[in-house]
Amino acid sequence: MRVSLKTKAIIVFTAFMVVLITLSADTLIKYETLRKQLADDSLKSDMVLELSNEIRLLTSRELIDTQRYLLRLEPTPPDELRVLSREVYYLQMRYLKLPLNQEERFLLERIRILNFRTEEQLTIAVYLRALGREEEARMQMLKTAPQVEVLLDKMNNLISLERLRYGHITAQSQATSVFLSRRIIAIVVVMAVLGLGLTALITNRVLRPIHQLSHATERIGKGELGISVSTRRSDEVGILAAAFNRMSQSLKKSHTELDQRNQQLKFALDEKEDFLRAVSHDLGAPLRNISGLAVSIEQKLGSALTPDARMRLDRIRVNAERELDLISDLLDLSRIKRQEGRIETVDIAATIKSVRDNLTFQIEEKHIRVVSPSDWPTIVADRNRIRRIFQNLIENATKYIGNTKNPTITLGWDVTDNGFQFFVRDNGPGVKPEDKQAIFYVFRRGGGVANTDGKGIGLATVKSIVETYGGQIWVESTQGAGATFYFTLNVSTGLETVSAEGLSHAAK
Amino acid sequence: MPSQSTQHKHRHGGLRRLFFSLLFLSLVAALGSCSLTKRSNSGPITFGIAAGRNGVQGAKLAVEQINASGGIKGRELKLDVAENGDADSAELSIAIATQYLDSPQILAVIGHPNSPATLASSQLYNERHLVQLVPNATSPLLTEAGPWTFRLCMSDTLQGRQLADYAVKQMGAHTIAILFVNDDYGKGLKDVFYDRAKELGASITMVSPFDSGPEFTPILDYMKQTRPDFLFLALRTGSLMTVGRWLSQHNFHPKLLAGDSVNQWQLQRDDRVMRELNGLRHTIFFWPTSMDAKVQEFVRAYQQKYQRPPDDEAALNYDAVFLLKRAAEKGTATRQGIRDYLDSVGAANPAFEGVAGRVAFDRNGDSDKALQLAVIKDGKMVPLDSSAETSRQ
Repeated sequence: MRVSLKTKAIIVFTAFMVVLITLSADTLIKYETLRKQLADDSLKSDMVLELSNEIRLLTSRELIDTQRYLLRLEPTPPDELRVLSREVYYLQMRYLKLPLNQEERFLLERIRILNFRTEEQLTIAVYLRALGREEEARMQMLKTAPQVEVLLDKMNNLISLERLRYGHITAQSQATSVFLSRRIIAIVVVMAVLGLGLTALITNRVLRPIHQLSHATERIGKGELGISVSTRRSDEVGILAAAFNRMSQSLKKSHTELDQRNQQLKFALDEKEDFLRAVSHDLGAPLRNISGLAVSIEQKLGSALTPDARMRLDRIRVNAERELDLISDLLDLSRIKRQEGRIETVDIAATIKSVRDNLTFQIEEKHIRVVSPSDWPTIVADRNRIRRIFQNLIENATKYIGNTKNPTITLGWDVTDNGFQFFVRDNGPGVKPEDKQAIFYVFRRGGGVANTDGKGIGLATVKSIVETYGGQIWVESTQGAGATFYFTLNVSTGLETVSAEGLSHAAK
Repeated sequence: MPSQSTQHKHRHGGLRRLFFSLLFLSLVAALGSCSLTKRSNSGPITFGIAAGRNGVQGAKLAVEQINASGGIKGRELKLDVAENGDADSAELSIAIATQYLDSPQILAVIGHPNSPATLASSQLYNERHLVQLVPNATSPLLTEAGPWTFRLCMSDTLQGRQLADYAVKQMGAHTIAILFVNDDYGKGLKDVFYDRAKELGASITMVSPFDSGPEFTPILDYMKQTRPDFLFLALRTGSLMTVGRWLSQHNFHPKLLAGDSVNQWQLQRDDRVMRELNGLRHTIFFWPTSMDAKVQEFVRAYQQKYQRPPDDEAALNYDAVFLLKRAAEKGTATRQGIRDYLDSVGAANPAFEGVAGRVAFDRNGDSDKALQLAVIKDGKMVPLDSSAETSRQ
């Protein structure tokens, strides 16, 4: 049976809440009971102590007043004693109604009876004095004195007994209060532990597998293919883990296949390059011989040669040299991808100027107008290679511009996310759509350009260089309305020459 | 990861265990909080009694009669008689009350026989809920003892006031000396009497505690000097006899009035005492020579069983048993049931006609009775029809 993560979460949460609510409710009830008990106890204790103190005070007054009267210190009339005695009595009765324990009740009863007897004895003394029997009165008073002492002593006993008892009750309340405080702390701790447990649970059950998944994904991203995570769980996380593992496996499989293909391709490419270099080299040597032989024949025989023979020798030499050029270009092309370019600051403006100087003859011959922006960026790249790009593209443009009226070559550039984009535009016949890809490959020149001079290697070289800088090259063209060759270079600027406003620099 | 899974299961199990133990604990607590209230509904019904010898005899006679006529709804009635039940010691009465309260079969208690014992124990009966039916303790403070204390005799609040009325209005008392026994009974009764007599315009020449014993004689000497024409004696029988002797010796004869705490039989045993106390009027709760058939039947049965006539205490305890029997019969035979029934006697339920008069409880559990007096006349004790002479409030 599959129990979903949600159900588990609800079960755990409910259990957690039940525990929490039970504990809290219990503690609240206990607290409330304690609060009531404390209030009750303090009220009782106050009443008991107040009353016992009052009784002691009154009784003392009753006894002392009587004694003072008997000693003729005060003319206290017997009626006042009666009133006092009555007050004492009703106070005692009020006292009896309090919630006393057995010990206190007994002590209070003893006090009451002792008080009754003392009252009687003192009354007798009072009346003896009133009768003028002074000596008897004095004797009676002396007889009463220890009884009075005992009574007052007993009352002090009672008061201290109560102090003790209510002190005990207070101590108990305090103990309960401490217990409750501990309970509350315990609840907080339990809550914290449960919370931590829950968090750990969530971490273990939910976050950790997800974290593992994301970690594994990262590892896959870094190329560690084929790793898998645990799929022991039956919930959503388990399903996700299984899907992840399937993905990981198939990714590894296709990656391995791709790798193999890549290896094969690389091997094939290397083979091709080797072949190209060998061919160029092996072809170069005989050609140089041919060219050299042609020159030496011409020099040795000189005037002995007929004009016709001289012309033919010249053609042999020229053709051989052209072939050598071609082979040199091919070698260059093969080197571009194999050799790292130099890293130096390239001033594009200077590069363009140098290229235009080189091509002055072609440009002026065809009356081509070259439009170039005044500011160019400086980039970090191999100067010769960058020069080669512009050289080839502009030369291409002069070659293919044909007999257009007002032939114009426009140069421009722009900033991209990773570097720069440049273009070279002509207003010649343009490129046929089917040739837009082909023209960038070696020996494949655009159709309809049979009369045009060229070895069919320039654009391929440009493409190779652009690609070494992580860039792209493409052509946009409408037939009969010229062609624009765009290329991008992912390079940094050497010196910051890009002005804030110069984001687009196409010359108008 | 596999260990996590088991760990989780374990923890989950722990939580579940915790939950169920909490549930269990709360159930136990709930069960524990309701005490076991089940009591048997068969077997004997038992009342406790703390009384003097006469009181116990009166109660036993009542129990015999009840059991002879089928008990209480077929259940036997039993008395649990307290030892030293007649002591006026508060300590003893507390011990007795505690014993009764701790015995669940005791459904009600008759007692105690005097004000000090009754007052002290009433706190416990009311705190712990057991009916205390008081036959003859008169202290005014019992009025406020609580809802579990009921009293068959009249309260001193009522008695003292009626006695003062009688003294001033009927007996023409002007100058009154008051002697009282210095305990809850004497103090309660004399205070009410004192206040009412003053209110009625009498002058009080002295108020003094008194007891039997030669050392108390100066009090009587002084009393004589104050020349009262009336002597109110809130005393018990012994000191009453001392006063009588002294008055006779000193040829001093104020009018005499006493409260209820007079043992008629003790006085009647001695002709000299009866002569010395000639003219003494005092409160009675029961008059054995009443023409009431119920009283005569009670006196006959009592005389037959114990070879002597019944007194106040015997009659009031006899009545107490019958009243409790009616409560257990008409109400439910539980402590609470008996209290609830008694509470309504004379209100929702009819008043109780006993040998010692009619019982109807007011909201304080006091029985509202009319003052009855007897007088010693020519060596004999005769009842006075006081209701005609006394104005009842």
